Amino acid sequence: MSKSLKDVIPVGHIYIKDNILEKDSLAGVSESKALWAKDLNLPKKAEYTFFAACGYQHMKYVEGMMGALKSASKMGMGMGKVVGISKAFGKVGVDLTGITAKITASKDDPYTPVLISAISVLRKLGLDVGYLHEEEPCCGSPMYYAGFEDDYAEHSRKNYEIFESFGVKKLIGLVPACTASLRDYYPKYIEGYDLEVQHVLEVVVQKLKKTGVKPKVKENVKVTYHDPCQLSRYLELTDEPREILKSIEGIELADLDPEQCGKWSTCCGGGGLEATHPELAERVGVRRVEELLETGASVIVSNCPACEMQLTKVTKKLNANVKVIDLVRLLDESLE
Amino acid sequence: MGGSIISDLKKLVGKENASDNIYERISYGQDAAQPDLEPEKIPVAVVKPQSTRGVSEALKYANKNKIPIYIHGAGTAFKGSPKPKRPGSILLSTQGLTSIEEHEEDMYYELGAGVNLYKLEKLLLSRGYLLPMTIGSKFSSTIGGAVSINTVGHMVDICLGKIIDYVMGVEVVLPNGDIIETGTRSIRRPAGLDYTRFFVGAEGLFGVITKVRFRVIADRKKAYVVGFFPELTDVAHAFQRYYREKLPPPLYGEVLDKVAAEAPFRLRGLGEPKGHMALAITISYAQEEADREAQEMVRVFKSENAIDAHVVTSKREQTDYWDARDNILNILQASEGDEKLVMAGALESSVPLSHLDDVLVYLQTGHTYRALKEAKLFIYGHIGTCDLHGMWVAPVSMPQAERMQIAKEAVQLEGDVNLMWGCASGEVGQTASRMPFFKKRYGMAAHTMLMNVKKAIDPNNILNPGNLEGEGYE
Amino acid sequence: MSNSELAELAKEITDNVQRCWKCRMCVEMCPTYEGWFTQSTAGRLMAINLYIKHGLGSEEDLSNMLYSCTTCRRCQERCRILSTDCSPADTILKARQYLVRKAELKGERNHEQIP
Ligand SMILES: Cc1cc2nc3c(=O)[nH]c(=O)nc-3n(C[C@H](O)[C@H](O)[C@H](O)COP(=O)(O)OP(=O)(O)OC[C@H]3O[C@@H](n4cnc5c(N)ncnc54)[C@H](O)[C@@H]3O)c2cc1C
Ligand code: SF4
Ligand code: SF4
Repeated sequence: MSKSLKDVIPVGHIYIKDNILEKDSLAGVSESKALWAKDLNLPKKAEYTFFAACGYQHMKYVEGMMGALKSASKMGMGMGKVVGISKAFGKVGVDLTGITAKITASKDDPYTPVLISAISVLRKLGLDVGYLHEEEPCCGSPMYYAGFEDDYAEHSRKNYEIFESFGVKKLIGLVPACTASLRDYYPKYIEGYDLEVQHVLEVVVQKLKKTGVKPKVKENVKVTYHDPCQLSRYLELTDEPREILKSIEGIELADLDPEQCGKWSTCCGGGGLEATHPELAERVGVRRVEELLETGASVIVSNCPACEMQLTKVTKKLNANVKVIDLVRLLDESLE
Repeated sequence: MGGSIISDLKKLVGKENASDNIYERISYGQDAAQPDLEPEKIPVAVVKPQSTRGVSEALKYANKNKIPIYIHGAGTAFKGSPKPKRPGSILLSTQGLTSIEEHEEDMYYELGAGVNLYKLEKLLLSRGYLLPMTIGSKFSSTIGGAVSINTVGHMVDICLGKIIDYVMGVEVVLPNGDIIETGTRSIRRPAGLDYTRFFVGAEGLFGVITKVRFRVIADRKKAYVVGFFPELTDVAHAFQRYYREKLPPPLYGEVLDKVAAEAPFRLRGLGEPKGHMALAITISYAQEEADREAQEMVRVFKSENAIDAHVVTSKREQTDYWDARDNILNILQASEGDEKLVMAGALESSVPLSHLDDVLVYLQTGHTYRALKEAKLFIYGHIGTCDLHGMWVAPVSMPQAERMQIAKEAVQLEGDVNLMWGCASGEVGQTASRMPFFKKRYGMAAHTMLMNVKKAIDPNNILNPGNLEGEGYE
Repeated sequence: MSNSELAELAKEITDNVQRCWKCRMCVEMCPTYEGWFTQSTAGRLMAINLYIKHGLGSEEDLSNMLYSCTTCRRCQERCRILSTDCSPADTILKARQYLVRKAELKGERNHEQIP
């Protein structure tokens, strides 16, 4: 790696890129990404292949990583002045491998169950999907957003070969950013790219209509919906989540001002910004949560690991009396 | 004092309200559209006072040290008026002045100069008032900027009046830092000498407006009309006839030529425009009256060859057609082959009613400017208030020099039109890039008079210097 | 990555910015805007433009501005609906690629010098 790169590109992004290139994981953990699925009997081959992505499974690690990056940035080492990320962490007394090693996919981790819910929802709606388990690659999208286009392009071509070798034809994505990456950016870099990519919410809406299933929550609740940017303005899915919420009996959807939701939804500041400008990210998050709280809802529903991590953190900080829950989890609980 | 300009300014207005970051200086130093700000004219500092007092301190300082100050509302005026002409300047942004005081019992709002027009419009609407201006850049522009230009944008001036009719008074900081108030708190404006007028439409030459006492007006009932015409001159004839028949002036009277309408129509899924589009909004206190006027408009449109003319009742259709026209930069979403288009030259003139048709013909085929003839032309405008716009566009790849030629010829053509028909431009301002024309149109005696007035109020010429001189646009 | 490819990328960026009208309708959309234009879309675009054209400012400052964008595309939607559709968010992304490539190019050169 050239020294000049570190002088101008935020270390957080370089670190994440190196994680992906070296360990094929956003958080740089070598531990299997497929632990969540070990009891689910998902075949590797099926008509539809579920793409779990790094997000939900490794969110706990990412939380630790973001914390470490935040300390580094607080010490003025976010950019430019650092020689190496590990040295930066060393200086602030953070042992990254230490943090990550301590965390395992535990029951109180709110993220991993989302993956299990996704499979469960699809099954309840009559769709059995496959999953590549350990073979599922990291899609590489953080590199794309950080400006490492060449690395991303090369990574995408490698991944495509993996998909091909398993005969994957149709992908169902869950993490919005990764789904957008697979659907919209891979074709730019891979000649003859022929994978059909859908987001799980699209599939769910179709299936709900077809099966006529009527989801129902145990207790009536007023919720509001936070559109993840990647879902609303990249994948352009703004009706689907609302249709799903409205289909659940007992849910009252208190949507925001039209200028703050749907395709105009305000960003919550989660994701990459936390790695480079943590304090700004927090302020952005506070502004968004304040908008969401104005609806008077007691639950904020979303469906993106980065958003959920950010919203959870900020609502806690604000001592707000709301819960943040993933749409897929909510739906799973509402289906027989 | 006596440190660097930036450290002095930070002491005067607070350190979070001044910046010498190069990129901040670039962003505030530019106005809308082209060309880019020349590097040597980048201001040395940006100040964003949060109060009238802060503005006063900054002006006192600049006046004492003879430092040019350029006033920036949102920088959306695109004739060069908010843009620095002289090196070493301070850029004063009014965007920190966002106070809003409601005095509905006296029918006015007292607004900080930096209040955004869109936010204001939403606020007024929620209280049952109408903002009597629709400026194409309302999403970013400020009330201070609009008052300084005295523009109502797309609205028809003879329907509800110009901004000056709504400004009961202003609070102004003079170039020496003195703070003065003008006007009244009564809905009746002072008769005779009311020096509010010195500042409304003054383009920041005489002082910095810090507050505007803005009269509110109750919302009216509206009716919407759209028409499509085979020829642009048909639209002109329609409005000429409408006024000839002594019908009440509409709030809106817009035209968008067929080629210009294509991109905005595509964007909104409206299909191909059936012809040149004309839009009108009639207003009254009673819905029936507004509807009746709309019917009259439809009748007039039809009598002037409209292919289709009707009252638009669907909310969706209203939004789509009016957005297609109001968001005029959408026309730049057109492309030529694979190439995206950029604006190369622009013209805007408010012409005598009886010559609307002649000017339209002249813009298309009457003149002899070579570069303009070769470039693609979009015509649009507020035809109900006799204001016509021409925008010549070019592919992004066109070399800068060729584009500049188009720009130059467009300015010349604008001057020709105004001279030929004895009129003037009705929007965006008269100073800066329009000064060479101003001198021709009104003569050097008029210009000298203005220079003398400026000198009396601003002896060190610190406010927007170069704008009245026409510097950089000779 | 060669000099000419870098120049091509630079041109693509400045062409996009050329299409931006600086109408600033995107500014209020930007979640990172806290009152100064450099914290917003339009400020980012103007900075890239004059950095590329005249080398104004420092790479560190520019990088800081570019990477403080959340790539949420709210500006881009605003620009598409109300203005020129000059793809501001995608342009900011391209500018990040430009910084990366420029740095990598410099790195390669340094490497060549040290056998
Ligand atoms: C897309 C688009 C559409 C537009 N549509 C229209 C239109 O329909 N009609 C129209 O007339 N114009 C239009 N304009 C031009 C422009 O937006 C307006 O003239 C607007 O009023 C300028 O407001 P601003 O707040 O941006 O002021 P600026 O552009 O910042 O300033 C305008 C002038 O006023 C001075 N000034 C600003 N604030 C103050 C103050 N507080 N005290 C003293 N001087 C001050 C400045 O120095 C400058 O000379 C449009 C521009 C764009 C980009
Ligand atoms: S809205 Fe578009 S054209 Fe206007 S300033 Fe923003 S990016 Fe530029
Ligand atoms: S994409 Fe970046 S510049 Fe655009 S609104 Fe979001 S944060 Fe602002």
